[in-house]
Amino acid sequence: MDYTAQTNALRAAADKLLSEGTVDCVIGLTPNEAVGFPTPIVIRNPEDAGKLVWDENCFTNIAVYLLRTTGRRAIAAKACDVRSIINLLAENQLKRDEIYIIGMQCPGMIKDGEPAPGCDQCPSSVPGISDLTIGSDGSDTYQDEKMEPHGENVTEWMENSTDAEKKERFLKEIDKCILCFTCRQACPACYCTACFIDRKADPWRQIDADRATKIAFHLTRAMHLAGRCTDCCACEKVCASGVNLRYLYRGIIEFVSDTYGFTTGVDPDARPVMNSFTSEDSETGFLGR
Amino acid sequence: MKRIKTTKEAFNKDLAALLDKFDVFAPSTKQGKLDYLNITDPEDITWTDDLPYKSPKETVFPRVEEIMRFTKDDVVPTANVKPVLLLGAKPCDIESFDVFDGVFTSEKGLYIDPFYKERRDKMLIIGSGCAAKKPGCFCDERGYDMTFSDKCDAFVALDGDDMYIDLITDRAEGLFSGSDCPPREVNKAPETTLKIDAHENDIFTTMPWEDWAMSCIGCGTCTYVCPTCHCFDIRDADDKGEVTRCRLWDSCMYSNFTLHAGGTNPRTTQAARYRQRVMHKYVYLRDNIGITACTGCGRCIRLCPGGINIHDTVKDIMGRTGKK
Repeated sequence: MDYTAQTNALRAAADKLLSEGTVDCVIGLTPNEAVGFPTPIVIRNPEDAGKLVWDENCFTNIAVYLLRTTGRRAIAAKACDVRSIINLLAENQLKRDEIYIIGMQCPGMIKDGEPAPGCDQCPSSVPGISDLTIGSDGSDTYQDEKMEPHGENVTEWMENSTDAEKKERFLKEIDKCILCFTCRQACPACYCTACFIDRKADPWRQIDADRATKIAFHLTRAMHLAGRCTDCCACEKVCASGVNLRYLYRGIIEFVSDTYGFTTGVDPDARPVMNSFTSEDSETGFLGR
Repeated sequence: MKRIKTTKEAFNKDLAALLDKFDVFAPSTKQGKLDYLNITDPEDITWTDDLPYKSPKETVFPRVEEIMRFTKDDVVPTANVKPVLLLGAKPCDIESFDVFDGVFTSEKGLYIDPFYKERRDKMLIIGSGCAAKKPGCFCDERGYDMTFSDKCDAFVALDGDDMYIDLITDRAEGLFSGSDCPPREVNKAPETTLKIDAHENDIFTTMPWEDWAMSCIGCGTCTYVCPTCHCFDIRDADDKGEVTRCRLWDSCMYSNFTLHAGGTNPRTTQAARYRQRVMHKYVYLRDNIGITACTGCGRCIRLCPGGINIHDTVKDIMGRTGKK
């Protein structure tokens, strides 16, 4: 991989897109010394293209900024960002002709000296859809690259664990949670304008900040993300307390895959699995046969 | 100020004897990340120069605090508060209690908060210094000495297996045994170079708040890890006729912050909410209690997913208002 070549290709692409007026802004990442990893930036002038960067610490999922900006937007997106974008397209939250995807090949990112959450088990280094391709050598073709597996494989762990072990693990992780809702805010699929947990009249968030509210929040959010979670791990990457949410969401993803044979974030034209119903479904739903 | 020398082993032994009397909070990696945790065994303490990822404000200002419990007819007494011993607090975190005291207990503040005051009066703080500045830290620019603070009851320094304890207040006398040694040489505190002198009206509408808050996703991490953020909300929870009234942390970064019962919200954009955070720290509290509510610990900078930097924002404001 050659991050300098990729950065140069990205800057050239952003400069061209903004100079020619193809897009109004480019969403990408910019070096941030104080934080220690590149952080999001929205640039509107071709002169600012030099602020963009692509390196081994670009783990932040910036698809969430597509929901916070308007107009024709280009985005420097890696495979996980694109999965999120595909889900947003499928759910009619974005218009395809307004989004210009600069597909950045990504062999897996590093956070705090270790593979970023989820990166070591990423299904592909190549974005699913893109308008422009920047391979890992900076050229316009994708190379053959993948990160070595590292640490515990959550999927395998899920398969080999009993329900009691999974519950114990979930509770152990949740005990670290401080209910700041950063996971929700960083999640490109969590775009409700009014989250269930914020509705003051409801009992969710009232007492026992310890386990009860945390369980209510995390399990309800997981239910809402069934068939919508793309396993981008944005939630885990931003968690200040280091809660490993994959031990919850990997289970949801496996369940959707096993039950409906559906993988989220692959086909923008596929109907979201929880929005589709056919008379052949094993569960009859409201038809009540 | 008296200084005594002891060993880590003897210190741990003395500390173990205090566990009955106090809830001891100390930096520990017991749960993964370094954090001020309630410890039950002195061996769980992680002695390191690193800064715990979130502040120790929870020890006197819990994330959820039961302030009242009642039924239709009666008020149910709540349990007594056990005193807290905060061990290993860094100077920036010790300074933050000045802000809390100013807001919740001082006569300059409008009210004396009985729940905070009770916890704070019973609290014992034993500080420890920083040897090196971490990325994002700017306590020196805020005028604080990273090696020492005397706004606590005692201050410890670990040197190999030796432990030096500075006894600052009377309350710390007699808690730990050790032999007398020459007192510590206290550094002169650096000059405060990062502060806003301008009036609220000069910066409220004239600064590019939209640009600064552009990458904010409204997650609230900054306010949850901040040692001085203290906004709260009150909720009632009804459980079979017994109502518990709780005080919970709120965050100016949330979209429902200052949401009125009628449905309007004076702060409609994330930029307005970010402005509130900066102004509250550097302008409003400066005017109300005479303290700028930022200790320069850098936590909000290091943990912000959007890379927002309050230090750079304030520097920018200083430049734009002509005060370098």
